[in-house]
Formats: sequence, structure tokens, C-alpha cells
Amino acid sequence: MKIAVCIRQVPDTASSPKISEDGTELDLSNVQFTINPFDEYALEEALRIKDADKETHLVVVSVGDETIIPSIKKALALGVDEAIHLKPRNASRYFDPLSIASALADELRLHSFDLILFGKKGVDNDNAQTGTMVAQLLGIPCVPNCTSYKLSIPHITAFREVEGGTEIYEVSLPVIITQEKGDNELRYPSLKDLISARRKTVTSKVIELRENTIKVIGFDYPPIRAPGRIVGTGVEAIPELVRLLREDAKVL
Amino acid sequence: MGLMVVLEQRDGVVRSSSLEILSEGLRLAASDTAVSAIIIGTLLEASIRTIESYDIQTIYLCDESDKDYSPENYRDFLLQAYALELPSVILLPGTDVGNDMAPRIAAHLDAGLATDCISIDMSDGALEAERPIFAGKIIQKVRIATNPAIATLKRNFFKGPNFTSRLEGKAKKPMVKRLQAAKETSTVRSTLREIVRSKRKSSDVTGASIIVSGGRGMKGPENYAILEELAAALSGAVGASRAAVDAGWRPHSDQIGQTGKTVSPELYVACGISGAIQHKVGMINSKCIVAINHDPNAPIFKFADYGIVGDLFQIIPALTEEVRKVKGALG
Repeated sequence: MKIAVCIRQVPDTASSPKISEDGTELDLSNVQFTINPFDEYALEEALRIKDADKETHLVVVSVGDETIIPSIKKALALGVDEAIHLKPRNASRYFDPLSIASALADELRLHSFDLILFGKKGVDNDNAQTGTMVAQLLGIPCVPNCTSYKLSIPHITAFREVEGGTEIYEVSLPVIITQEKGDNELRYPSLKDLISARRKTVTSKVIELRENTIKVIGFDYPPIRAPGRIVGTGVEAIPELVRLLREDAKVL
Repeated sequence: MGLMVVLEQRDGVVRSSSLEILSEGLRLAASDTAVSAIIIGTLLEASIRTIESYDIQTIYLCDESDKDYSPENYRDFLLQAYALELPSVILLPGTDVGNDMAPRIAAHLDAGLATDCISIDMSDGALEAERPIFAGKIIQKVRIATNPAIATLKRNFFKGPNFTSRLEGKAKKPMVKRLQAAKETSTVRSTLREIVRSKRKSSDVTGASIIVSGGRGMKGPENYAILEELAAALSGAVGASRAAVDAGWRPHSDQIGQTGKTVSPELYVACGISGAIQHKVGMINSKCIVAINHDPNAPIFKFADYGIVGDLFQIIPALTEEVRKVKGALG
């Protein structure tokens, strides 16, 4: 079984990016970067498959500049066998979903992965497109937003979270799954794992990204919400709160 | 140029979120623009009548049993309709179905896609959109550089005027065309075997107009019973903060925030939630926010419309009582 997990880096969810003065760029200079949380969930699922079957060959694939290296190292330390780092010559700060998907598809096509995993979206640009697009470009099925899946080779049963319930899909391998947060807890690498990860292979390739399909023309902050007020303390404040909700806010 | 709107149904009835984007599509379309609509799934006749009342040229229905739902089949139906209409703009609902379908057709048409847009407009012949990124900490403005340009529209942001009225005085009804599935369908399919609807009494947070949400201050999973009761009294849904989900108290499907859902209900009652940025971005677009917290310095009070400081284990049951009383009085 060969599994690829596509990972990338994003600003930590606790950070608040700033917009440049002219409104055309995001200033991410003081931002802490981590592996995209949903990619980490995908990675954890793949590691669990490898825990159960040691023959599993696990590869992470990532598009990005050198700043992605710590995330790749972390994945290797967690138990991934090898990494492929695609370095765009014409790097853009903005990750255009279709151009990134094309670059990934070109690389993934060279291998014969049974299962390709993505996070359901990057928590920075919130596009939620790349994994599904790669599946189209490779001509394989895709089940997005899965909390979990069960392998029974050559099939997979995937549990997709949707509004008000779960859809259960049955698909033949190879397949792309995009990962929603599931029930599994993430693991953390030990110092020893980090040291032994240094011996693992990272293949770097310089690539050319195709032209962006989306042009980012600017950024803005959302409107600021006017501060409200404390109605009172304890249960005594409840009648007044309910009156305000009915008469002022008109939501009851 | 032409414009195509992809509509979603539930139980054979077109969803209101889809009618919102149909109206938005009609607003966007110039007077000489042909507007068409295609429905994912089977519609009841009455619902077809509803769509016929809109000022559009063509309605595409897909000849497919919902029992054999496969996203790849509907992708192919959409591509068929695209080939017949060649629209320069395709709009889809920003729902599970729309956001699943959009990247599939975008990759096939080599087209740019902007997901979960909160406003769209034409500028110099190209589609421009505003969309929240970083879960809403920032609004990104994009221009889709391809033909066609594809966008999914976020729910609750397109409540503009209903465009059915444009039909008044016009005799022409839209043409209804039925698309047949290609005979030679490829075997590359994912097949929907089963839909398991959530068994819980309270509704899903995504579509709820009132949400009662609990965080770390709830102290344990058993205490959510009081939130369920308040939610029931308000006919709302129960949500949770990341802290409560990470502690295993509530399922992830209830999580509101940057790694959970973004909601914009009429009323959001935050109980024992401090209001960290990751949570704030998921609910800040609620029309009215109420915070109940024992800590007067909790960040949530900085953006809640109304706050009560105190012990939520006393306040919530008393609030439930008061709501029942008021609702009872209102009949």
C-alpha cells in the first residue's frame, strides 16, 4: 500500500495577520507557522494505517519554499518514510488552488499511490479546492470532508460529514480523501524521532507553476462590531436580557 | 455572456439558499444575458414551478435516480449543461454539495474558482468577489481571471430582493430540458451507499437561526443538558467551542470557529466561552450575541451585544424558564 499525504504550512490559528498599508498584501512577518491542522489530521490517519501494516509506504508531498522544511521534518519524525518537496521557481505568496493542484497532479502522476490524502482546507485561504481538483486532474474519485474511512482493499468506505449527518461512500482505490477533523488524537515526535528523521530522504524538485486562475486584488478587515454592554450580574439580569432580546434586538 | 446557476434540493424541494443565489445571479446578469439553472437531484413538480417563475431562459433537469447519487455523475451533468450553454459565469451554493461540486467542474473546465464568497460583482467583464479568509479575520478581494469564472456563494449573505417579480408582464416561461446520463460512463465513481442523519433532537448548527453554545466553562459533558434545554426552549441548536470538543465533551460537527464551522444565526448565546480569536471568527457575524460568563474580563464581553456576568449553572436554567414563560405568553 502506497499512501501520499499532501501537506502545507499555514499561520497558526491563534495569529491575526496584518494587512499592508496599501491594502494589497498580507504581512505575515510576525506570524508563527505550523502544518495546516487539517493536513495534520490526514497525516495522523495515514500513520495509523502504517501502525497496523508496517509494509505501508508513506510519502509526504508539499509545494512551497524553504520555510516548509520544518513541517516536512516533523512529518518524517512522526513516521513518514520519505518526502517530496516541490519548489516553485515563480513562487507567489498566494496559493492559487488550480495551479497548485496542477503541480501536485504532475508529481503524483509519476507514482502509483493507492490513497492520496489532503486536509479538507487550508485554514489560511479557506479555499477547500486543491484535493478535489487533483482528483479530477488524475481522473480518480474523491470524497471530501471525511471524518474517517475504512480500507478493505481494493475498496474504501469513507464517512463524509455533511450538514445534519454523515454520508457513507464506497469507492475503489486509488482515491483522494480530504480530511475533516476526526476522533483520533494527534501524536507528537520525540527528540529521538527528530534525530532519526534526518536520515530519511527528502527529494527536492524545482517546478514551474502555471499562471494563476485567481488574481488577488486586495485585502480588508471585516467591519468591527460595536461593543455591547453588560446587562447585569446573576439571575436578576435575566428579565431585562429577555426584554432586550424581544424589544431591541427582536430576535425572540 | 451567459450565466448558469447550480441549484440544490432537499427532499425534492429547491433549497432556499439556492433561490437566494438564483436571485443574486439575476441581479448580476445584464439584461441581454441568458440565465440558466441546473438542479442537482430530482425535483418535485411543484418545485419546478417555483423555478419557472424566475426570469430565466432554460432549466436543466438531470435524469437520474437519487438512489444512485454519485458526485461524479452530477459533475458530468453540469459539464453537459455547460457545453450547451457556455456560460461565462457559474454560481453554486456555498453548501456541502456546492462546495463539493465546484472544484470538480473548475478543474475540468480549467477555470478559476472562488469559494464561499460574501459578495460578487462584474467589473470590466470579469467576476470579482469578496471572500473571508483566515475564517473571517480578513476579507480577500479576488478577480477570477478565466472564462468561465466559477464562484460558490456563502449562505446567509445573499438575502437580496427576490427576482421572481421580473417575470410580471413577461409571457415567456423558461424552457425545461432533461439531460440524459452518458451511456458510456467511466467506472471512476464514488457511490453514496447510505446517509446517516444525526439522531440528536436539536438541529444542526449550520442552518440554525438560534444557537446556544458552550465552552470550557461548562465543566463537563453532562452539563450540556442545560444547554439542550435552553436550545429546545428557543427552538435552536447546540454548538461548542474548540476547548469543549478537544476535551471530548461534544462532537466535532458542533464545533464553531476557525477549525470548525462558521455560523451567522439571528441569536448566538455563548455560555462559558472566553471568546478567543479562533472562536470569535466562527460566530462574529451572528445578528445578536449574548454572553454568559463568570469572568467580567473575558474577551467575549468586548463583542457580545448583551452580557450577563455570573454562574452559568444558575443563569442558564433560569433563562430557560424565562424564555418558556415569555414564549408561552406569546402563544
